[in-house]
Amino acid sequence: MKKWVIVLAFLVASTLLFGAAVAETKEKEIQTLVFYRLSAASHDAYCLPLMQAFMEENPDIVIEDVVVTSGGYEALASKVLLANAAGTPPDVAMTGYSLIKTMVESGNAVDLTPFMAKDAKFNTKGLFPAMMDLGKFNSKQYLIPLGTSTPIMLLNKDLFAQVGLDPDNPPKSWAEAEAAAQKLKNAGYMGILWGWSVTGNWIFQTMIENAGGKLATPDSKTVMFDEEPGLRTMTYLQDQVKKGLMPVTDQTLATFATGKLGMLIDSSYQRVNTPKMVNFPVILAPVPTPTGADPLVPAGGNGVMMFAQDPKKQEAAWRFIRFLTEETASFIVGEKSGYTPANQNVIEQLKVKYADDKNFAIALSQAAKVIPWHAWPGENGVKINKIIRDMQESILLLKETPKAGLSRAAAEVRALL
Amino acid sequence: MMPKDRKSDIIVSYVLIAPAVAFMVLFIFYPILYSIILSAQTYRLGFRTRELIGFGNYIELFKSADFWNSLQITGIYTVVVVIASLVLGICLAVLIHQRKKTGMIWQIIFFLPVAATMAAMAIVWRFILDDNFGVFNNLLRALGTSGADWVRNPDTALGAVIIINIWANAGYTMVFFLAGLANIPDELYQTASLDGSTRLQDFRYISWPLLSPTTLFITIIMTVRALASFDLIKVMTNGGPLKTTQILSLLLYQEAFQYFNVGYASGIAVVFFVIVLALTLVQMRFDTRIHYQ
Repeated sequence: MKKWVIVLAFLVASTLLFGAAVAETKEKEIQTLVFYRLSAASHDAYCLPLMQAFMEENPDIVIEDVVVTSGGYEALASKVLLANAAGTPPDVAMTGYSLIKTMVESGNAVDLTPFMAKDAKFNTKGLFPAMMDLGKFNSKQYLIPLGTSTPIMLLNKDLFAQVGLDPDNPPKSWAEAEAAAQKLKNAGYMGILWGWSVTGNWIFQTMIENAGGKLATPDSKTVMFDEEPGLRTMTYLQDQVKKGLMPVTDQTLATFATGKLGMLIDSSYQRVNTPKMVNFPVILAPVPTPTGADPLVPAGGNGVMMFAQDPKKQEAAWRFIRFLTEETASFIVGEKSGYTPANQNVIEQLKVKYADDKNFAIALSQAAKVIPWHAWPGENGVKINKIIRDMQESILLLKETPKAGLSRAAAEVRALL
Repeated sequence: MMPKDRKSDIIVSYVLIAPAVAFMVLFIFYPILYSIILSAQTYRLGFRTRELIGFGNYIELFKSADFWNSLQITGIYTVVVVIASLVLGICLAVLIHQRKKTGMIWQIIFFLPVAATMAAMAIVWRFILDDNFGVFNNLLRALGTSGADWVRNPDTALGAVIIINIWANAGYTMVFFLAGLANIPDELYQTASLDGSTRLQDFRYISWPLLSPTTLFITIIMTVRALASFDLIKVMTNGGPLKTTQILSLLLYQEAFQYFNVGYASGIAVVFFVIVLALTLVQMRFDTRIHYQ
């Protein structure tokens, strides 16, 4: 009898313990979201607070980030595609605007339009239409913008003042930029560095668009960068090199950081990071244009795309993506990175809050007027970008004339298209 | 009929080598086979669809100017790196071998570049050689000569990466030659000195012939290392400027992981494999001729 009492007591105790464990487990059921992203000091500065803020608001979701520390958006895209090929896709991934087509054509990206439509909490109207359009492909929304940057000129304020130039009145036209560069060169410094090597030929597109041309028609069926605006652009750049006004280097930020370069045409993303890594004041100014008019600026930056296939994971992923468009996340992106968020309300608040910060004002005002960053279609998009980049390098290294280089590159691109 | 003991011995032998065989099949033979299969397809990294195209990738490859350019550059790079590393290695080995007291210190000094991570060293070298802020050019200008854009000039970029690779590998060949020299009996040198031989004659008639097995071994190893070289060039020049340093391994990487063209890249990998295998077999044919009894 005593034995039976002991066994019964044991069974009851086990049942109670087991039941409590199951109840506790159910209460604590936590979803893990795998998020692929870029990692560098500048990206961690806003990504880590974003993930932290989301997890605080959503304690049932834990974000596990997988980082890529070098190679830019192409390396990140490569990692995402590899993960898809291995059958372990990320739930959400950061993607550069120029790589949306590749991701969609791979068949792995999830159309976000249905999620946007059925979620009453998602405020499409509160997001900048120009930025939202960057994430569309075949009229479907695949990417939600996280942050947008634009081409901008960074000035070394001390150097400008030292050689007798007015840093508060920066050059607006190509001729003024050349004159300023000449003055810097005469004083023994480097004049200007146009960021020809920036990924996706972004600066090259900027210069051609402002010279009245385009890289190609929007559907890329007609290549146009070898026409007069393209020739004018590359002739101007080669002249800068020949006159000793522009160094030929892809180490743009490192060269600017030496303090011996007066003007750098790069990304407004550098607004937060570059002033921290140099020992001189940095001023942002609009990119000089052929006539001095306000520049047309193609959008750079990135957004997030969904790759999760399981409905439960998709639901969690959508909650994270939606969070990134809301005020908390948009303030983090706007203040801790050089990007401009897509939330219009936040942009207006930032404009008021940082009204005295001229650098911030320029970055914000340009982001509202972006034009699309040209993305070449089909399987040879990245290769085409390399052909155009190599063409610029060849012309700047004086190995080819602008006309010969442009014609050759255009012929190669047409063959690939 | 096989004795029971012998049969169980055979079974045990197969069981004992099974893990190694499994490793080789999984990590060597299967990837080679799968690469060959991929090379017959149009497969883009991560894409859900693929198509069998037979020799299509190879036809495109052999028509590609980029491929022949890369092959030529790889050939020049390999020949120069291997020969220079061997010559420098054996010179260092002979000099260090004579220094009984300080030999170890010199070995450590020259072996340090081998022990360091190539990618990290490449980043440092890139900054050292930069035209605008590099230490090397600043030194040249301080000495009254003009600097140069060593890494971004198409005429000097290949030379620059070759020199850096030789610097990184000379210590590697030196160590093997030192071991080879240590195995040569001293009596041979003593006997030769009795006959009045000079140091040069010692090297020519004793050291060099007896180092033949070491030399062949090092040549094969260095050839494979040079052909497979990737990290130094990827970090320093990324195949530029103007593809003057685009060796075959880099072209393969670009096609697979930057252009996501895995099928085509697998074709490059298969061709590369055949080239390396052929070179290795040719070199190994000399093996029987160079061992002295």
